[in-house]
Amino acid sequence: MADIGYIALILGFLVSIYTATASFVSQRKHYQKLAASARNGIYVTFGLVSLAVAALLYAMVTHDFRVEYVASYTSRDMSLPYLFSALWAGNSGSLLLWGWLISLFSVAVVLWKRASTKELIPYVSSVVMVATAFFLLLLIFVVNPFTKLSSIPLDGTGLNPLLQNPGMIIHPPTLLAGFAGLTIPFAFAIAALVTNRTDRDWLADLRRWVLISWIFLSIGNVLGAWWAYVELGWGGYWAWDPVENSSLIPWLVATALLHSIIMQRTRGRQKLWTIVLIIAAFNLPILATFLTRTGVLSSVHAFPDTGMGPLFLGFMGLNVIGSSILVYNRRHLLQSDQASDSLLSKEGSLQVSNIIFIIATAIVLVGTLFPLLIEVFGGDKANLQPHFFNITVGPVFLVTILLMGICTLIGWKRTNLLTSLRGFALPLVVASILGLTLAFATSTAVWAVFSFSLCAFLVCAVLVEVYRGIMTRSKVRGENPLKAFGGSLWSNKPRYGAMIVHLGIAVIAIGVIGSSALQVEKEVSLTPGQSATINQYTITYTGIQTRSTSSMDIVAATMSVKNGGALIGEMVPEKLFHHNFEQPVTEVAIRSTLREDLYIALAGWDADGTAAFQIMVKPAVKWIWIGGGFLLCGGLIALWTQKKLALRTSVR
Amino acid sequence: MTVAITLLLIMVILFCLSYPWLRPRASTSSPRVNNSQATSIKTLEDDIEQDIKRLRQTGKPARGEEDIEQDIKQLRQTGKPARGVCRKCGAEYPKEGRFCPQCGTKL
Repeated sequence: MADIGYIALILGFLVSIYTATASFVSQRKHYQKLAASARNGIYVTFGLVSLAVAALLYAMVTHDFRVEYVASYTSRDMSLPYLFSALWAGNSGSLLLWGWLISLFSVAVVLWKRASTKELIPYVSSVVMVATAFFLLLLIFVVNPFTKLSSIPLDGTGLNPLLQNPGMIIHPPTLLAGFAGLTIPFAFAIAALVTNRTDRDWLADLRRWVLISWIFLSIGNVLGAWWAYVELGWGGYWAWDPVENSSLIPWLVATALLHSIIMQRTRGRQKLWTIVLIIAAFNLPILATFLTRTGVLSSVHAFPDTGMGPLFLGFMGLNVIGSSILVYNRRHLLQSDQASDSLLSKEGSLQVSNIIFIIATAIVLVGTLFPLLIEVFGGDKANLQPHFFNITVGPVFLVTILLMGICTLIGWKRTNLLTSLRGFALPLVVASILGLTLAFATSTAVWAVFSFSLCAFLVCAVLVEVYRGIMTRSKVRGENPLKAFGGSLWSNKPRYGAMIVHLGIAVIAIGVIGSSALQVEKEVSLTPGQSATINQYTITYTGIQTRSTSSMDIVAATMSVKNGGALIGEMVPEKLFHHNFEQPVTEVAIRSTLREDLYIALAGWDADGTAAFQIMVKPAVKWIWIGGGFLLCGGLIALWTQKKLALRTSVR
Repeated sequence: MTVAITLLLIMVILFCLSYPWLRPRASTSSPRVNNSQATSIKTLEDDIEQDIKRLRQTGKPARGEEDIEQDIKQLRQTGKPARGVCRKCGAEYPKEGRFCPQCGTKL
């Protein structure tokens, strides 16, 4: 079956090259039969890449340890979900999944096309097929997932214990889907430039695909943070690791791109911005992949160098140079339809937001590339500490939160200053009261007080805007407020989807600020029966037990926890010693509530039963995951509108 | 086994990619149709069959130049064709018709 998988990759590569060429030529020369053949080529490529994926999965499920990838990432004792997730655990498997997702999306583009953008589809198909061919080329010649071993092991090494977490099943594929999804906007942009189409017709397709990628990237990033929090045992959820940054950068660019599309759709502005952001959004994940999979940067997630570097650089160079030439040649089509608006307008604040997003992207990118830059200039390679990112990106994000609040309340076009200030009154008052209360009644750090106030301003701004909408509809149509809310949401899904997303960002920010500024941490060494106190919690160490399973030895400490004198339960932090892996894995015990998380990690122990613990109280962490849910809901609601939006856009 | 599957794959790929050229001529010219379009095609075929029948019997085409001229004149005057085909169900409707006699669609 492994041979079939490899042959499917080769055939897929050949068919994708044929399809890319045939799509392009058929549209240029108006050969209808060649166009139909190219369309079939897209389905065939998808079928062949799917066959390769199926072959690898089959090899994993049947424990075919002749295949090196299967022997490296699976073992006989792994459950079926983790056997499947091993597909994206390794370098070649994840690249195969990436290529498969691109071919899947290319099929969706062909099936999902609209009459108004029909002429773009052959060019879109051509670009997407080139991207698919690139990944297949890598898989065939550089990182073949079907490479066979000369001697067959009795059992495989298995999945790294840190990866054996439900997060592993969802987080990598969602991120890869986000990366793969960004290929489609890039393909649409190239197609629009080739055909001189910079009108608004293709923006509906563009928005749909950017939004789909954005949703995947948002969920992928939040799930990654959750996975790090529950699995890695260091008490944090974001370490500004190069691989984490490489998934944040496309998210930031995609977010800026969504705002840029709004500007172009509604006001015919930021056309150049949109195109440049699309090119960046497609190429930055490839740059990040190059950095983390070719040994250029060191990271806990990085893969060893497999010689893919020149191919990645070549592909990226081709994309950037080719698309830059195209943009330069079409620069006359990328002029804004309208003159600049006042800064005191939705357009103005959207423009400033985009600049802020670009600044944040640049900081994260430069910070990630810093070790490489230092090395180029003769220094020693060293990653920047998380503190650098916290003090540089943190304030930029706070400005973004402020702008989100302003943008929600302010109107399109030039706005009267007095009218605007009236709209801002309630959110400003609420934010000020909260800020003053926190500053005078608690010992919260000044930056945290200011940050919480900004979050309150944003939440209040969104709620005021929703309230206004409900009241207006209720007055005009005589509906009760609940029906008016439902009606408003139903009839204007992009707007309400965006509001929910903005609310989600505020909720995530509250979680991040709360867990960073108000965290209390203690490292204690306890003998059985001894207690430690942290905030209102009294934690008594009962004892330590050791047990074994077929694949690991487990050391578990039992702690009884009291909250203000009342017993609330037992917590059991563990240390796992997997037989296949040298490094022990920390399984933290977390008691999570909406208010705060009690987080206990077992650091070490002595033969006499004395054990060392890291205990943390992290306020508001749960709000980060809840905020992730808001992003998903808001994104899906905004995506739901497409039919009407597409119609409206094409009517214009 | 691997060779056989590979050959099979290549054959399937070649068939799929060359299918637009292999399709029978009739099917390449006729688009995929839904029920209503099928009805209109059927009506058209019936009409053609009747015309051929009449042509054989009388030696004259069913619709002469005069008829066509009259139709054009009426179309110019009223902006409506003398006889039309309903867009929804494909049925023919009379000159004065405002609603399709078959499906009731407003014409």
